[in-house]
Amino acid sequence: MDNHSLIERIKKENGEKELKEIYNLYRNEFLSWAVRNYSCSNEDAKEVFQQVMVIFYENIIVGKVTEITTQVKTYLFSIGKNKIQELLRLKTRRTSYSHDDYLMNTELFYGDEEDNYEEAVHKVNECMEELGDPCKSILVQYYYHRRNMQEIAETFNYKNSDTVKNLKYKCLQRLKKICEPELQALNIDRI
Amino acid sequence: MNNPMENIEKFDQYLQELLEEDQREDFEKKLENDAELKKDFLRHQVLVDGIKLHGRKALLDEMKSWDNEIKSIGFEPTEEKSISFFKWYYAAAAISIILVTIAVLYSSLNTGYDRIVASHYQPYTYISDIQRGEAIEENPTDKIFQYYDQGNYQQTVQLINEVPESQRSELMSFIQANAYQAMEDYERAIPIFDSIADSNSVYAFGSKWYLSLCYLSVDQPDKAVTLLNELKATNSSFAPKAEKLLNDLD
Repeated sequence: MDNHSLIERIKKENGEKELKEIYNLYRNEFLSWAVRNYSCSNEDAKEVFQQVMVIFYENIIVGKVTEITTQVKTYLFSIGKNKIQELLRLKTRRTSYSHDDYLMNTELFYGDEEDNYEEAVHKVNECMEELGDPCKSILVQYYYHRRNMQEIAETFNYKNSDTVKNLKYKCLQRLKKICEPELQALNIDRI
Repeated sequence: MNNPMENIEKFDQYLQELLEEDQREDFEKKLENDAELKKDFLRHQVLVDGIKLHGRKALLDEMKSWDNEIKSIGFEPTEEKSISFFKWYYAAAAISIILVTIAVLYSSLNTGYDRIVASHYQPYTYISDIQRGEAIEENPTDKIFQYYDQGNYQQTVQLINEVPESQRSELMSFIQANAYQAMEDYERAIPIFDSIADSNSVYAFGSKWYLSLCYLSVDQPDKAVTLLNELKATNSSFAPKAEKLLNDLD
């Protein structure tokens, strides 16, 4: 697997197919390695591997990683080592550890890690379900998967990128309207 | 900037760091002076982060479905209940593994190094001056050390490789080797540690220590033992560590 073209395929097209191939290729080996070397449970190892894959994907789509000079496996396992150690540290410090601890413990978000900001972000996430498709998909494709307007137009068979731009704006306004009562209650407007 | 749609475009360009420096500064000044604009921007930021959280959760859910596919075709490792379908296969494989392991035990001293290395190895800790969680500094050198401090080893070596070799400091090379080692890329770590270990650098003793662990990881215990004996004879802080590791190897 050529690393450079793999990165380009993950970025430019919908990288899910490539990601799934890598996932299936290294998952079992990672689980066995994690359980053997760190005495963590199979469930914890699975959770960590999924986090590793998400980090791998996000690093590529936001441009943090533009080339991988080692094997992909080496890269994944080195992220995994840190994540396992982090998980084990968290578990010794807290009586309960939830998947959400990872979801918000991240470099993905623009805002500060304050309690009411985190809660606001979770509220928006919940409101996305109420928003429904096609708005949900368009917004996730643009903001999370970092596809450009033209790519989204082609994927969803819209006329052109201007159409998508207008749709994106309308979808954001709809989302804002759905979330507004919750966000006002949290008083996150810091001026 | 009174057109709401134009505002959204500008917010997105700013958040995705697509603005030139003068445009970014201009935008930040506008935010400072226009309370309504700043309120709209903060609201937009929350929405975008919520959308990204939704995307991440969806990706994680997708991966769980991939897990279920793997389980359904019986390829789940180490789970006792789910291997019943291939019980006979795993039994035969286990017997083969036991036989091979016995053969290996008689013919080589290679078993156990991974465990010994794991119990002695800690990645070199370099605490950058910048606090964790702060934005990555723009200065390339600070960026390197900050990435290393955060455990982003891939980004660390990527940035160091962009620095011409003649301009790399001793510390930079030492960090580079440590990053490779942390990623288990011993082929690249060893020559760098080797060259520092042979020099008068302040990192020479540290390089010998990490180099000895690298040699154990690639099953070259003789080279590791030579280095550890050299370290043991010094007054450095690595001397007691070297002695302990030599005892464990014995």
